[in-house]
Amino acid sequence: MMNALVGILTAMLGTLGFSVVFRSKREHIFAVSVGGALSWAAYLASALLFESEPTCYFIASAVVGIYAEVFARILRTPTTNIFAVAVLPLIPGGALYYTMRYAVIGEWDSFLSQGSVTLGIAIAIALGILTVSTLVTVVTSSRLYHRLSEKARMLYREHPDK
Amino acid sequence: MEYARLLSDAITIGEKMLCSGAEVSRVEDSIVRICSAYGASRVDVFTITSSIVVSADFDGKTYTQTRRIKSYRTDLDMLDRLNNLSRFICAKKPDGEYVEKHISEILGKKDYSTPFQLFAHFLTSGAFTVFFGGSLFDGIVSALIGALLLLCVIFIDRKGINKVFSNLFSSFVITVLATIFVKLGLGDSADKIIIGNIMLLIPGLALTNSLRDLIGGDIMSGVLRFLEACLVAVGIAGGYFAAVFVMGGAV
Repeated sequence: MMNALVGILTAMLGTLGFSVVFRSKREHIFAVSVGGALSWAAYLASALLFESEPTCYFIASAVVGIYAEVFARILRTPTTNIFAVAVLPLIPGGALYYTMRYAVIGEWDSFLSQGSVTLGIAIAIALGILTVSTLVTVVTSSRLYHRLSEKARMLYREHPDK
Repeated sequence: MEYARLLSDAITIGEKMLCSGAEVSRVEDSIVRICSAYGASRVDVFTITSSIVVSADFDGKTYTQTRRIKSYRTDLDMLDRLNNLSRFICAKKPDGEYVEKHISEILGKKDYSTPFQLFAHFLTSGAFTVFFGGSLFDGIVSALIGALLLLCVIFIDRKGINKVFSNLFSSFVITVLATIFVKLGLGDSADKIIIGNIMLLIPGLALTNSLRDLIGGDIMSGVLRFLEACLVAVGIAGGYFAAVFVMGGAV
């Protein structure tokens, strides 16, 4: 439990730092940091339910994808701006490091198995966000969505567009 | 409005979006929307990570322009502003002068100050070291190395060294420093310190994005980005190898 909390907290701080490295807008920094914490929390939660690592990464990436799609609309910004930073705790940095380390010390069997783990995680993350963005396209092109967003716009008319 | 100038402005917006971290599909979409807003009957855009080609038909004449893209620098704030500008252009169709004024305004915007960036590097590498299982001590050492790494990166940027070698150099510096710190008894596990710092260099995001492009249908860009990520990883591994060689023995 303690480990999980430390993980979520450091994931949040790490994304906070990265949001500056990637030059996020000042107003987005808070949202992406929370997204970073969420991504790791989602991973840990799905790890309780599923054995396979790629599955957990897929679910976590989809959760961050949904978060990014929602906040991109609230903050009126491209989805990438939220997703690219919030997903960072999931990025297989450690796995990539160990892959590279095995190559350097010449343990080729370990290199291959670690390499395929790394690639598997990266594919799972990519599939997670793609699934969400495809679903979002389907939903937002529906008539019901148009009617609802038209109504929302009428309600918020007093706030002028940027 | 002059169509050649309009097309050139549209490509500039697309180019800068791509440089600052937009997906290929967004870039193509923005260029098509801008040209169509000004009455192009047909727009064809082909974008890969290193070039943009656009042909647009205005009043029965076809205009074609190409732009070569050489350097990238993730700047999500700039991407956000360009995206807003392109939406504004599509809605209001301002003249060329207005568009160009706003583009140069966006390109000339202020970056985060160096002390703030130092703090960000400090925080990122420290937090990720602890995140990947390092102790609090490791985190502090790693944070210091992370701040040093930014100075290293600023120096490299000024010299304009190619990407593989700049990563090689950075990863060499990280590994040597981490090994020295651990040998001095400051910090427990060198590999956790290295991982925390390598997160700042790692092509993990590039790798994930490349697969996203690839599976999403932008095969050319996906393949190019994938290869680029592999090359960067080779650079990092090279620096690591050199450092291990110099310090004697893998950590």
